[in-house]
Amino acid sequence: MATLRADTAALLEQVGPLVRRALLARFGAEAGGEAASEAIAWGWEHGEVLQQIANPAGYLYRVGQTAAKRARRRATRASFPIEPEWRDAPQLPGDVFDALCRLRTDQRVAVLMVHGYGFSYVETAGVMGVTEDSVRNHVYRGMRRLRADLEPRRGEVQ
Amino acid sequence: MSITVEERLRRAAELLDHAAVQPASAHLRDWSPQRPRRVGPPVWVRAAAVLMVLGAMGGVAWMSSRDSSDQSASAPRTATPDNTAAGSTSGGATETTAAAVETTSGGSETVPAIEGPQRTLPQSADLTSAPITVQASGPSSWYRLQPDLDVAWYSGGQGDSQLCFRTPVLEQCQPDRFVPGGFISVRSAGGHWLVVTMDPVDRLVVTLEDGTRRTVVVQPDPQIGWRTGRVVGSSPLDGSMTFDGSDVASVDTVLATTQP
Repeated sequence: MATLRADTAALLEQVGPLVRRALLARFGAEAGGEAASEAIAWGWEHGEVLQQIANPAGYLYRVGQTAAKRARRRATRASFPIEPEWRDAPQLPGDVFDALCRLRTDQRVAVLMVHGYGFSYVETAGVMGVTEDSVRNHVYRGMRRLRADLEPRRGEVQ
Repeated sequence: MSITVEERLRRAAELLDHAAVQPASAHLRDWSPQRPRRVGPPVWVRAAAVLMVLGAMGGVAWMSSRDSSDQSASAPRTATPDNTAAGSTSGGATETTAAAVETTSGGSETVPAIEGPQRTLPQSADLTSAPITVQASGPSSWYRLQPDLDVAWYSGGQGDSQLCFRTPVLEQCQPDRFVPGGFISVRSAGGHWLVVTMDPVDRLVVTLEDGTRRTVVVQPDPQIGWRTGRVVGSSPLDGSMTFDGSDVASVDTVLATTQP
């Protein structure tokens, strides 16, 4: 029993941050945080099952999504913070969270996981339960749209 | 100055983490007031899960801060103007340890350099790796300039801006009148005073309350370019702003004047 708990703890310590951040990117700060807590709690309760799952991060991500759905949570602009004015770069065009909310959900998760949190394509693909190529596509398309929204156009004075 | 979309995403991710830990943060817009009741695992299970995730994140932060402590601990105990100016950096938010070389007013005698802060500030959840001005009624996001010096800005939303400093011995806000051509002095633990300037200089000459003049080596912060130095003794006199903690009511006074 003690070994199982220790193994579960080690596994959750490994995949917890990945799952939590993917859910934050998907549902926003509050709902994402709650979904992550519920997913990790499920992992604690079902340590034995979790040990046997090939992709525990992906499974917990789905558990988190189910929890958010059960609580009737979905991401809206209000789920995300407001980008503050950065001291070292004032008057940037647009709000990064506005632009992220305009992306498709999978694109937002992929872009934030890869470029925001610095996870690899493989890790991101694992937690999202898609192929690495799909993540590349989501990141490429998401970044293209973000650049169009957030980068000043040629000749535009900031 | 501008930043790339990737850098904005990195900061956005950090804000999102911060907002998830502190959902009452001023940056977060309110969720729907009609929150449905959730059915889920017992409270103790959820609490254990949250504690474990926070512990893991705290462990990473502790490991990175321990690395920087090891580096500064291995630095030479006696310093010359050259090697004190070099400073040290740590992971996460780049952190420079201010060291100062003090000379007498004649500049001929060099006294041993001050090695570092007497006490440092703990890692806390309200630290950000990038300096931001928040719309709030008080400082909520701090940027670490030195191991014993945090700075924060906030705006009451009426065009006013408050500048706040936090050290192991004080936390104080004043209307932001910090401009190039002057310096700020902030009291820290162990009789240390930190001097902060925007000017692109390597040294600052300050006059202390006891009449002595000191030349303080200042080092730039890589993120915001402000330069910080350290002096021990009585308070510097000729700074444009002083944060000595004596005006304890200043934060309330400021709030009262900015939010009638």
